[in-house]
Amino acid sequence: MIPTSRRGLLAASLAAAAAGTARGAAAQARPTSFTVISHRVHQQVLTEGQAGDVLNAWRERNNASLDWVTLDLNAIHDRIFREARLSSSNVTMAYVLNTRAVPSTFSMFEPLDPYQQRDPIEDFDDFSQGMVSAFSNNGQRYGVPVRHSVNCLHYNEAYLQERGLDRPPQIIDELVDYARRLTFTRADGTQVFGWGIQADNYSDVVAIARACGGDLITEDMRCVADQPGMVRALEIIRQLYQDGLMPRNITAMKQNDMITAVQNGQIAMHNFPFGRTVLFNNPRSSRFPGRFKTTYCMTSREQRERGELIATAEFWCMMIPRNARAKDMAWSLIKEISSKENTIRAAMNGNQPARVSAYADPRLLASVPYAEQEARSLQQSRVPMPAFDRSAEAKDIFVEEMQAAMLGMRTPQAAGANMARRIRPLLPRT
Amino acid sequence: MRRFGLPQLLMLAPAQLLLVAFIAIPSVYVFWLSFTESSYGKEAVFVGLANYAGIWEDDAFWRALRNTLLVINVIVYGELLLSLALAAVFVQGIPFRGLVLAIILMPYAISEVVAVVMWKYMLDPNIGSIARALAALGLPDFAWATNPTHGLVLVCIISIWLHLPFTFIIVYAAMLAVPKELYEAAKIDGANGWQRFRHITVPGILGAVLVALIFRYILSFRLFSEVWLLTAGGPARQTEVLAVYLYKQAFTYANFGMGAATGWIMVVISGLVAAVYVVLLQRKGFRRDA
Repeated sequence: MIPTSRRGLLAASLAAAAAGTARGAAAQARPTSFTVISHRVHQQVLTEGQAGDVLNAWRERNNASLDWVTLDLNAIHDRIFREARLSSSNVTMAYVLNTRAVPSTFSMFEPLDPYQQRDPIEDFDDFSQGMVSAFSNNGQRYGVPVRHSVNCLHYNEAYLQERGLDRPPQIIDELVDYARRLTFTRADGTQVFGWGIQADNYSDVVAIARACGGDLITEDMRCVADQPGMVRALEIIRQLYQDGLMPRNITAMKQNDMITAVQNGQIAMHNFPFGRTVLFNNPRSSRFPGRFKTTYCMTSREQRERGELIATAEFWCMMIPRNARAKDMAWSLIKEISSKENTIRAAMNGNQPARVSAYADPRLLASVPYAEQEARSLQQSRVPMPAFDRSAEAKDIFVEEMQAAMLGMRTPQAAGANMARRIRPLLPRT
Repeated sequence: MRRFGLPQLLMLAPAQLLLVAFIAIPSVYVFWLSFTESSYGKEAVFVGLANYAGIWEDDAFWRALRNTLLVINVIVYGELLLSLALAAVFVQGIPFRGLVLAIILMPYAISEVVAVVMWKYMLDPNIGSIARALAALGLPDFAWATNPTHGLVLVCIISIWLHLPFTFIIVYAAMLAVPKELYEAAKIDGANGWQRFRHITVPGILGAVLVALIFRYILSFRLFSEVWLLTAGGPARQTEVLAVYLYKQAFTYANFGMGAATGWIMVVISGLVAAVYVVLLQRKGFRRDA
């Protein structure tokens, strides 16, 4: 047994109290950590690049550190939706893509209007209102737009010159002819394909359909895949593939495969978000640094004459899980990221800003060569498909039928009719 | 006679509790989930057999089931035949036995993801080394990305290459265990090579072969990464297998009820297949040794 005395007990108590105070002081000095779930690119544009660490001031002001959990597209949403179903969560804030902003998921997130009334984000009307409304339900806002990806045509200027073309295609009717002329074998043996699409996604073909006067699902939730516009788009895709103007393994190529193929000079033209031009022109990873340019050709002659262009865009919003423990801190972080100044800084780091005014900022115009084109595209862009609860199934049906038409397993008419027949029952009843 | 009392029960309890906590309870939960309509942000609603009925009417499910059964039979029996052939050569004795053995076992040490990506690049029709070599030899295109049959053939090749070591090791060990005296006696009696294999080797290794078959059937039924990383079930969902179908239902469409129902259907089918081999094993393998 350990002998105890009054003096010993007093000394032990004092020592314990001193240790407790020291631990408390250390805890106060140590920043509090907050978890954010996002894609790696969201973290990158806030912490790395020519504008530096955008969130440094916020971290110091709040004695906080951010624990970024960065995942791939499906995994981000799976993780955050699972977290949001728990009774409480360590996740402070999450980035959610517009395709996942469906009515059933809003109930898992915090309505943001009370926060905006109490501690407003400056000039909220400056955000693209289409994006804000996509993240609204029953008159409540649930997300603050933070990043978009508007698509454009990226083309390899060196190949155009090699093939005697003095300008990129300007309308959809020129696309097949350009792809044909840009499909060739170079002197070094490289097989070049004129055009590439993301054949495991829908946005490129939907853009072609819109340029042909059609669509997949209209804004009032009607599936019009069996109409002439989409059938024409499927015919174009089929022709591009059957004539060997696209890589033969296109259906198995993922986005990263596509980027590598463009960088290596295997694909001459490709539809991608504007921001990808940085990757295509990167001297460390591209065989043609500085030779990739952007344009838009997803438009018909008539649309072009009217000054219209077809651009598809997806976008991300920041949301607060309803079960988050640190909701006020989450709002403070969202407010910081959304400020006008930080929007510009993140854009200089490579973000595509959701604030319309950002594109008038001289710093952005000076540092991002495609800023004006992107601003114009953003004004006229639409999501490739409106969000609804079963949109993921609709996307898969579209891809299945589109690939079947492209590879010759079905006629474009039959594929379009199948899309319409199978997608219509999935749409919400209006 | 050995007694089975409380001490033995207590010693087994931790393992049993783990099985209950991590296998039995989740399985029961998933079984219940298969009778509900459930997704993110929605309370699960009991829908009876609607998910099973939905699967029954889904063409994609039947195509995935057909692909799965086709592919796993090719994989399991392909592995078995190759293992038998290799093991038969090995027991005869070959030069550099250790080195050759290491080469055969090597794929088992490679991550499935790395292996599939490696094969994918080697067979890329535009830049792949194997694809270019085949083209240089004047052979027709191996269009695994756009031709579903070619795609499934490549899945089989990769899977056999990856998992051959498992079956081979079991079969080889079993062959080594067959008493040499039996072969010597058969030789003296005038049995030829095939007769020795048919009447000595096969009965001697049958138990081990059945064990290998049971394990490989059950594991192959979960075939996922080879298909997902290579074709993702495409083109046009023609190379989809059951595990990919389940993944899409549960994690792409967030339809947990359908995902759970698919999971249970997979358990029942693979259980039935395994049961056939367990019965065979019982009759021809273990019972004889009891």
